[in-house]
Amino acid sequence: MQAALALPILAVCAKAGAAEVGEIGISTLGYKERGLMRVIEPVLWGRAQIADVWEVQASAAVDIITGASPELVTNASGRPVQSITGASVVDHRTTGDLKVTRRFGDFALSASHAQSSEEDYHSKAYGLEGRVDLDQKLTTLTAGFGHSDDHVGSSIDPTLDAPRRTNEYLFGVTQVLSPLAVVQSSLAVSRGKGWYNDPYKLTLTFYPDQGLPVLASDRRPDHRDSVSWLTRLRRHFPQANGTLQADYRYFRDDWGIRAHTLEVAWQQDLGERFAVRPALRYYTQGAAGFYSPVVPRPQPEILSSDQRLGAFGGLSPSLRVTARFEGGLVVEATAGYVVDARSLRLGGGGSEAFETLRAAYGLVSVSHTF
Amino acid sequence: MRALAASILFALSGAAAAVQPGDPLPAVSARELEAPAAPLALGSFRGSVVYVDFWASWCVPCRVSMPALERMYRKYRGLGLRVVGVNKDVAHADAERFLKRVAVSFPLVADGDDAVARAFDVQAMPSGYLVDRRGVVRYVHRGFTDETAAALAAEIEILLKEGG
Amino acid sequence: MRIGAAWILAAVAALLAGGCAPVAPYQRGYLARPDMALEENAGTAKALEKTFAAKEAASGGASVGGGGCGCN
Repeated sequence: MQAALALPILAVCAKAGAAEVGEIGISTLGYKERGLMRVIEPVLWGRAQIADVWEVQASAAVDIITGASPELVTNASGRPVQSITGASVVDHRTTGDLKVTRRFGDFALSASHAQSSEEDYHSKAYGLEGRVDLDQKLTTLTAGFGHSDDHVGSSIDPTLDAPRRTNEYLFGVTQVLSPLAVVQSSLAVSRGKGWYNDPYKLTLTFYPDQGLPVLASDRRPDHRDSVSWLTRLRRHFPQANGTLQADYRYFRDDWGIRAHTLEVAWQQDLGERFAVRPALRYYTQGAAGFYSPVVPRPQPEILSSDQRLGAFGGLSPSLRVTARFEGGLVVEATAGYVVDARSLRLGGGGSEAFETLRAAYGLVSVSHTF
Repeated sequence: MRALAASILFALSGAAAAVQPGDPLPAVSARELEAPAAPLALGSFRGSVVYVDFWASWCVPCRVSMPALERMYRKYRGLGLRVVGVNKDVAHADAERFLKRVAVSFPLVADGDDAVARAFDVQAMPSGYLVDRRGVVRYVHRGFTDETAAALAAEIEILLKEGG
Repeated sequence: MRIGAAWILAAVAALLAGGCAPVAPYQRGYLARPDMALEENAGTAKALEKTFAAKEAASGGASVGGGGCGCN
C-alpha cells in the first residue's frame, strides 16, 4: 500500500515553450501477470489554458483488478514459498485528480487535490506548488508541499479503519543546457505516520524442533520517512532525427530500503508522422530491515514477508509507436514486459524466497491537442 | 565540442547589440518560407513602413500576434504598411502546422541559421520591430498582448503619416 | 553502490547532454518537440507509474498527484 502524494507535477514547464492551448485524451492499460493478477485501467485526462494566466489539469481513472494476490508465505514444504489462499476476486479502484495553476509573470502557483477509493482503502490528498522561471525560462525552480490522508480497511475485517497521514516536500530544478538538451532534477522528502500493515498478508513458519507452527500477521512500523531523488535528461540529435531520454531515481527510506531505477529510451522519428521508441527500465531494491519470509525466534514486533519489501531486481523492456495526424490527433501504442527476480538484483544478494514475477502490459492512448 | 565552437564563432562574428529604437534596420536578407530560392532583402522595403516580426509555432503569444498582424496588414497595406514574418521553427513542418490554423497573407521568411535573429539580437519571442519609411527602427515590441496590438496600431498610423 | 556510482552517473549524464551552450530566446524549437518533454502524456504516465509502484517499494520523486493505491 503506497501513498503517492498529491504533489503537483514538477515538470509543469515540461516542454520548454510548447504552444498548445489544451489537450484531452483517453488511455487504456491492460496488464497481466503470469498466473496471478490482471488489470484493466482506462484513464481519461485533460489540460486546458484559460484566459492566458490559468491552467487546469484533471484526470480520472478506474482500475479493474481480477485475480489473486499471494497472501501467505509458508515454509511447510521446507522452504518459504508464496501461497494463494483466497479465491480469485474482482476489485475496483477509482482515482481522480485536479490541479489549477495561476501564472503571475515568471511565477506560478498551483493547488491540487486527488482522491483514490476502493473497497478497503480511501485516500485524499492536497498539494501546493510554486514555480519560478529564471533567465528567460532557461532555469525553472519548483517547490511543493503535499498532504495525504489515507484510511486502510479490510474486506475480511470490517472493523478495520486505520488512518495514515503523509506529508511530502518537493524541490526541483529544470535547466535548459543547450538548444538540444534539457535536464531536470528533483528531490522529494516524505514523512508518514499511521497504519502500514497489510491486513491480508500472513507468515506461517514451521520449525524442525517444534510441533506447532507460528502464524504471524504482517506488522510494519507506524511511520515511514523516505527520500526520492529523480533526475531526467532529454537530448535531441538532429542528424539522427532522434531523442535520447534517460531517467534515474534513487530512493531510500527508514525501513532500510535502498532502490535505484534507471530508464533509458530512444525516440526515433520515422518521417513527419511516426515515431518509434524502444526503452529499457532497470530496477534494483534492497530489503527492508524487518522483511523475513520466515518468523524468527523470538518473534519480533515488526515483521513482513511481503516480497515487495525484499531484495530483488527488475528488468522491463518496452516499445512505443506514436502516430501524429492533422488537426492534433495523436495515437500511441506501447507494449512492455516486466520480469522481477532475485537474480536481477544489482550486486547479488536477492532474497531467497523471492518468487519471480513475469508480466506483460499494453497501453493504447488517443489524444487530441488544440 | 560543436557547441563550444559555435559559441566562439558567435562571439567572434561580432553579433549586433540588441536593436533599439533609433537604430537603422539591419541590412539582412533571408529566403522565403514557401519559395526557398527567392531571397528577400529587408532593405527592399524602403519607402514603406515595415513591421519585422519574429515568430514560431512554439511561441505561445504568437497565436495572438499573428492574427493581429494579419488584420493590421490588411487594414493598412494600401496606405504603405508592409509586414515580414521571420520564422524561428527548426522544421518547416512545424511552421506549416501553425499556418494551417493561422493563415497570413504577408511574406514569411525562414531563418534556420539564425542569421536574421542574431542581426537583430532578438531578446524575446515574439519580437517585433516597426521601421519608418527611411529605414530607421522606431518602436520595438517584446512579447505580445492585446495592449501591444492597440499600441502598435497607433504607432503604425503615426509612421504612415510621415514622409519617406 | 554509493558515492562512486553517483559520480559515474553524473559523468555519463554530462557526456550525453553534450555540454552546455548558450541558448537564445529564439532557439527553443528543438526543446519544444514532444519527445523533449520531461513527462509522457498524463494518461500514460499515470497508468505506467502505478504498474511499477504496485510491485516495488520505491515511490515518488516527481510523480503526478496522489491518492495512494491500496495495492495488494
